[in-house]
Amino acid sequence: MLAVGDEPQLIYVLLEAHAEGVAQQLAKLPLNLCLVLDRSSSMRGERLMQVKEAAARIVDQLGPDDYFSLVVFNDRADVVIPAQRAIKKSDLKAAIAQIEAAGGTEMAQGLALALQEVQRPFLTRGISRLILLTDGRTYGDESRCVEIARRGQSRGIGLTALGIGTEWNEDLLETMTASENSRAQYIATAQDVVKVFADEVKRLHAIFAQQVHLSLETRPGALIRSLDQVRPFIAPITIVEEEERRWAANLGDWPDTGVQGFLIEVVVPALPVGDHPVLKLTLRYHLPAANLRDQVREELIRISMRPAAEVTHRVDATVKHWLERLVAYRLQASAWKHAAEGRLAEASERLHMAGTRMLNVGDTALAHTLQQEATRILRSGAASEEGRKRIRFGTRGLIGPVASDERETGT
Amino acid sequence: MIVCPNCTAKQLDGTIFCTECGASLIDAAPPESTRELDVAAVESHEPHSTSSLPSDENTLSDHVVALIVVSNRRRIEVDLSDEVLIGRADPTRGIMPDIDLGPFGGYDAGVSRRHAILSYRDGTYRVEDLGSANGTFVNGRQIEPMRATPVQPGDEIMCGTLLLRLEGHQRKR
Repeated sequence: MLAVGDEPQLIYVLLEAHAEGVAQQLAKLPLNLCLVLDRSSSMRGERLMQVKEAAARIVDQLGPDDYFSLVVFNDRADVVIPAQRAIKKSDLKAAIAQIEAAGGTEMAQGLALALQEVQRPFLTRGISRLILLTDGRTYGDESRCVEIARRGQSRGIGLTALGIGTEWNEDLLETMTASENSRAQYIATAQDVVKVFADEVKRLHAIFAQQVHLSLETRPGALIRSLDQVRPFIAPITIVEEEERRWAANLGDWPDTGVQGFLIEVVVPALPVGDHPVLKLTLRYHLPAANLRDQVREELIRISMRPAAEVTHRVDATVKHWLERLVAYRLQASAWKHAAEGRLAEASERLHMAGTRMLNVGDTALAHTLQQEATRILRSGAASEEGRKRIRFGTRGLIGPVASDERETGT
Repeated sequence: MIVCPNCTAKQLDGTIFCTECGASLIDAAPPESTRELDVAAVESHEPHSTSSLPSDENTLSDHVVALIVVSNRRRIEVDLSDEVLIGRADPTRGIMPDIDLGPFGGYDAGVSRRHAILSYRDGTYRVEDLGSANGTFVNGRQIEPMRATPVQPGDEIMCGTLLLRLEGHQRKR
């Protein structure tokens, strides 16, 4: 219920979707997974040990219909395990155990080889993914990395990019994964590697709907200002106005665990007293395991305009919670932009305010990191590498291991 | 149209957080025009102002300091002839702190209604956290509640997430 006025208003729409009924009984889709592992000398010791352990665990998680391949890279790239069904598990694990750390970091070669490998199996249906893990900066081949990632994504091959330690280039990993079915995640300590890998494979195994597509149709005069994923983690989503008053977005593949949440900002024009439909949401998706294509769910959003005196301004607590997290994410993004332009006072203010927002949603630890870095940026002109990564991935909810969806459902 | 009380950016009706600075536009501080008045009103209503009756220039001394709100560089003059309460005014509960951080985004920053006490005795400035919900920090380190912690001009005092800087009074020596 909104108060009538003679100006446009902003309304927030929270869209939450989860699997129910038939979707949960569908068979698993086969997985086609390629691990792309950084084995530069900085990985030596605890990190490589944990990564090898994690890779071996993944092999255990895979079924006989799943494909697995493994590529390693330092200054050059090698196929350790060519794409094959995960059947001779002890052989696969023995190959993993052979990996040794040495040399520098040249990521593009590794990615190119991995993309090659992951496209070898012929799957009529299933999920193809690259899981990249790195702890360092690749020099000089960044644009090639992005290009290879995009090529894969355009063929439906998603990329999960995991950064470990504080040396890796978060700009690059975020750019490479700015697409559906892809994401970057920060692994703060080596002990988390095994869990992060296992969680990712579990999530991929749970995928039941593919090529989820959202279309948003507005009433005349209304405007979609933004669409962002807020659950299970925050990600801005590209929306395109396909034709007048009709926007569209690709939401990728969905697992049947937990909730997919999206926050939509809609600008509605001044409307008279009465009930008005403002937005029609249409979800379109395939259920490959059931051989069903183009399934459709629709939802019509209405608002009720009333004279101002009858309306008490009230904000839904759930909407506010996710919006507050989203605002914190946007504030830190704008802080780095200001910092890059040398506007340190503005950058610091943005980080401060992001801290306030995180404090309100109850993430005290991240709020304090934000405060510290806000102060540091004023004093020394730059944030710390670790602080910056914690903030960028923490505000999105992407510091591993990520809290499980199930747990978040309770909030 | 709403005007953000923190950064004065114009926002659409219905906006919950300012798109420019991220400040909360609900439960927001009163608009700009009443801000100045608030501070002035609170300062002139200090209940214990007997000892700080208008003094002439010469008697201005170390007990007059200023707190700078770092985010917007606003300056709050403080007379520490007696200790002062830092907090957030809540008229309905009858809490009127000597220094009301409400108009400076105190609610958003997690400033408690009765947050901390600032005092000056025997040549030392002290700040004491009153068990506030979000704590008080001096130069980035959280201070123990209920214990007066010495501070010096130039130090940063953070209430919740609201950053203040203590400044000595600029006077002719």
